[in-house]
Amino acid sequence: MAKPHSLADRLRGFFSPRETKAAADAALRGGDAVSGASGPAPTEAAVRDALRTVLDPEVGIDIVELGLVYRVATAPGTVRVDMTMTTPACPSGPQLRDQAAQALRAALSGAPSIEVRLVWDPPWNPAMMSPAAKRRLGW
Amino acid sequence: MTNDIPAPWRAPLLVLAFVSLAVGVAAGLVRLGWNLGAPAAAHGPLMISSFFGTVIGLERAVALGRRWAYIGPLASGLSGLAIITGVGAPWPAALATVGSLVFLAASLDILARQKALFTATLALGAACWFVGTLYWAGGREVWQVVVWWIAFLVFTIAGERLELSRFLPASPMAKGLFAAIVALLLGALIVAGGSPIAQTAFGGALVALALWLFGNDIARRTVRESGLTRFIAVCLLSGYAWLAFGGAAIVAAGGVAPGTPSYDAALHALLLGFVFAMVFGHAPIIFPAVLNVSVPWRPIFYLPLALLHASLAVRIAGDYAGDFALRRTGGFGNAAALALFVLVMVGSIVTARSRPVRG
Repeated sequence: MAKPHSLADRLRGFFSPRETKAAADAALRGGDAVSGASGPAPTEAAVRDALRTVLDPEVGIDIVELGLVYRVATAPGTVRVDMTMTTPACPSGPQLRDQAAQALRAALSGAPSIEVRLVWDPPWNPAMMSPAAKRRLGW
Repeated sequence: MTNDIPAPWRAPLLVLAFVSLAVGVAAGLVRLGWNLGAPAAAHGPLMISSFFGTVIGLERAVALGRRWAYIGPLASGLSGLAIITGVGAPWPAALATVGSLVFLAASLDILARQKALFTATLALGAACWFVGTLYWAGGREVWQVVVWWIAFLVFTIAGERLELSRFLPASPMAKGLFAAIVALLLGALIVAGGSPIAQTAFGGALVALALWLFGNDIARRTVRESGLTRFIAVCLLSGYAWLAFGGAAIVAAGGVAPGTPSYDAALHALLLGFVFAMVFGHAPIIFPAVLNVSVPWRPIFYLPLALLHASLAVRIAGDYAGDFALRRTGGFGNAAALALFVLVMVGSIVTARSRPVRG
């Protein structure tokens, strides 16, 4: 049986960030991964189409058109998406990330392993919006 | 990716905030003559630090995703509990001060991650809460620090709206104007204590901010959308009208003098009409972000909003007419609007659980 953590260990764990890339990736795999049969890799277009169902509720435009989806990588059995928020001050990031993962699970039958990461580099800027989104917003 | 805390652990903090809201509203009703047994003198601290401070602090902690940031809403939430349970000085003010200080640290962390005018404005709002609360802890009366607390909420909302205004075509002039308004608000704030001229300038800057928000907020476009997006825009635009009214009431009265009709009118136009309209609009986004629950939009969301605005108009009419019964009726309507809002939110969450809605 594992020895219980001491109070000091728990406090150290509470206050110190444990943000190594490996840990983050492992957490993401644990949280968002769906394992299943691996078939041919989904196309990037299919992934982006699935992500178009995730709307920013305040703006009413999807995350792809808003330029919040930075990278889509697909391989047989794996889909990996890097997305961002307009600012790290936005509390909706984890929720929209989870919605994106759900949308991919729902759309990509055959259930590949799905990872959606929130990234902050480069910072989002309005030039990243699609021409259609800009038109809709009066550009 | 972070050392955030799981969503269920955040719920007690939100419960603390809403207990403070309930008792804070009851304390407001005691002031209007209802014998509810709530601490009337604590109405302001309960509403500002223990409710808004806790909810906004929680929202920022979720954005930051760091466990230490949750100490802020925990402390400000406990300050409300200290008031409600009758724990004496210095605990309520000391806990609120700790809460505001941690919130300031979280806001500075975000500023360090993204150096921009809007993150600086958010940090400025946090600093105003801290300064106001520090003065209160030092023994000043609520009416002497209330402009700092108004500035906390005004800067917080203005910073968030400036961030979202980036979705609209860029205008360097609009950004410069925003910075000038923030500078005027801050300058007036620093010398506002006891200076009617500075308080009047503060009111004028609030009117200017309302006009800026009307002209530059994404809400003027998204109000043409539908569903939740339109509802949020309606909340925002209607709130800006109260922001303008509250600022104008301060200008017309030549300051913020307690015990005058304009004091009640201005403060409640700003803190109920403006700030709660923002809360109503963003609760369907923030509850899911904080608690990981679904709050699907329903047309009934407009009902508490309409009641809020209508009852506030009645209250303010009572203020200026010197008609206490009318003011009292309006105040009761204000409380009913907030209670209805909570019911509608809870109803939406519960029905979403029993009837899954697409995310």
